[in-house]
Amino acid sequence: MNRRVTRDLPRLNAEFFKALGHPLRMRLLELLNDGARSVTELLDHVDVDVDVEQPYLSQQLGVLRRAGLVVARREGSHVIYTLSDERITELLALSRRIQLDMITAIHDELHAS
Amino acid sequence: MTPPPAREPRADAPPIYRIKADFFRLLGHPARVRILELLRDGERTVGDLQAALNLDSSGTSQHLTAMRRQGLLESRRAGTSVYYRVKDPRIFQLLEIAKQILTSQLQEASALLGDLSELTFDSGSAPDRGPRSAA
Repeated sequence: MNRRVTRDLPRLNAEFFKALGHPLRMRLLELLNDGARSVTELLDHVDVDVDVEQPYLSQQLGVLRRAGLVVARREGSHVIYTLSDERITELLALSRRIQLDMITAIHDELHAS
Repeated sequence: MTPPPAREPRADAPPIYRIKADFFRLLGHPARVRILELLRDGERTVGDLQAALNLDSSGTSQHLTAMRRQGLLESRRAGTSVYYRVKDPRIFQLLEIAKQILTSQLQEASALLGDLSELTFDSGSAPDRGPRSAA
């Protein structure tokens, strides 16, 4: 890895986290964490409790794709999305544990106050 | 002192996903990633961080305050100095995983660029390539 890239790592890292920092994108990643899905399937899952239109969903999938978090492949008339790297599963699980403890600490403080 | 409020995302997911996303949104700033890396070896004063970041004092304290408010950092005062430290060391593990994912993507990208430049410049007859340095 050249020096320029190494120096840019905090910026790239931040871009990567920014891509995760969006409710719908987070939801899509968690759905894909359970396995590959087509855009139609993603839309069906997401649309159960919120009103999301397909262009908006595709736009957010595009952000995830450009950030390197998901990859898309075409199968017939369907576009199938998967997580790009199995370590993303690890990342999501670890962030969940960290957040749970952060929220538990707040909960305990609330109780004690 | 408070950082400018980030633009409200559309109500496009149940609240739990907003909470999860907020965590990453907090990390989604180069200066914050650098602050966390600077705190890897233990607590540091605000002045120390400011010097290392090459940021003005209000910029530095905005980031520190935002991360403390969300429970990522904690601080203590000692005399005239305020020391900051990371509350949960698993944050470093999280940064490490993200960095690994990024690094392999960059390596793939540069290998691809290597292939492209071979196509462009070695348009000749030698299909057997030498070992490519792993970027």
